Amino acid sequence: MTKIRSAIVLAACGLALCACAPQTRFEWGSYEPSLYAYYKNSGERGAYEAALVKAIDAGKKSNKIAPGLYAELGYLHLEDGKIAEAQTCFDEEMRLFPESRFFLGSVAKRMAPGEIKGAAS
Amino acid sequence: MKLLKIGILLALAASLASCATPPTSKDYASFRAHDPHSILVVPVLNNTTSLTAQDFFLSTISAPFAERGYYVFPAHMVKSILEKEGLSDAGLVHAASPVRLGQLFGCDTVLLIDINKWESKYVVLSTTTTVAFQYRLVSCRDGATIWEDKREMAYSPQAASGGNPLAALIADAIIAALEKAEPNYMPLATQANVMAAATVGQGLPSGPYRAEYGKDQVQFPSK
Repeated sequence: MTKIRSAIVLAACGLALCACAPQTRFEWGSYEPSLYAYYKNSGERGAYEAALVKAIDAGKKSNKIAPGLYAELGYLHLEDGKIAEAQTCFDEEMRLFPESRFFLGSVAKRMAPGEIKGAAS
Repeated sequence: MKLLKIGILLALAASLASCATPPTSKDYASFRAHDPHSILVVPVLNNTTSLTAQDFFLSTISAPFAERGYYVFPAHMVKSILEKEGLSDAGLVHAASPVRLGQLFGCDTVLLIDINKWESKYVVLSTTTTVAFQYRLVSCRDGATIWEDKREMAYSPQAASGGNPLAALIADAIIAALEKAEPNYMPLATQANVMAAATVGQGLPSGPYRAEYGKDQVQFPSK
C-alpha cells in the first residue's frame, strides 16, 4: 500500500515538474478539437461556432481572449449572411488586436450590400 | 511493483529532459532585427499521401504560436478566403512573394509549413504513428527567413503488461489494431507545434503579447 502511495507521489512530482510547460496566455477553450471536428465533418459547424462563443466568453472574464477567435466567429456569421453580427465580431477583434485592422478592414469593405454573396458564398 | 517504480522514474527523467535547455541555441539576430508582431499561417504544403492532413493540421497550429505572444491571423478564415480567391494551392502560395502576401493581409511574417510525414505503420503487434513537419517563418518586409525548425514525433500505444503473457499479447494486438484503424495524429501534431514554437533556444522568442517580450535575450540569444 505504501509502495503504491509512494508511486503515486512520484507520479505527481513528475506532473509538477512538467509544469515548466508554459501557462496559457490566452483562453482557447475547445477551439482546436472543435475546428478539427468541423474539418472532419462539416455537420459539426454549429458545435465549432458554439466552441468559439464559449471560449470568447471565458476569455472575456479572464481578460485572455485569444487572437483570431472573434474573427473566426465573425467569418461564420458572414457566411450565414449575418452582416451586423459579423461586423460586431470584426470590430472586437480589431479593438483587441490592432494587427488585424488592415485585413479585417479590407474584408469589411467587401461586405457592402450587393457584394455580400461574393464574399460569403 | 519494482518495474512500476522504474517506469515512473524513467518518465520523470524524460519529463526533466524535455524541459532541459538544449546545448546550442539558434541565432536570433535577424529575428530580433525584424521584430515581428504578427504571423499569417498560409495553406500547409502536404508532401504525404494523406488527403486530410493539411486541414486537420491547421486546427493545431494557431494556439502554440499565439501563445508565444504573437498575433496569429484567423487560420480557417484565411484559408477560406484564399480558396475563394483561387489561391487554395499551397505550392502556389508558398512560392508567392511574402512581400505581396504582406500587402494583402497586413501581416509581418508568413509561416510556411511542410508536412513531410503523417503515417501509421503496423509492424508485429504494434502500430507506430509518425508525423514530421518543417517550419519556416519569412518576413513580409524583405522576404528573409527569420526562423526555421523541424519536428518529428512518433507514438506507439502499448497495453499495460499484466500477469498473463497471452492476455497481454492479445491486448497489444487489439490496441495496435485500434490505432491502425484510427491513428491519433492530433496530439502528436500539437506536441510538435508546441515544441517548435516554445522550446528554449529553438522556438520563437516572446512576442509583444507576453510580459517577457524583449527580455529573453539569454534564452533566445543574438550571436
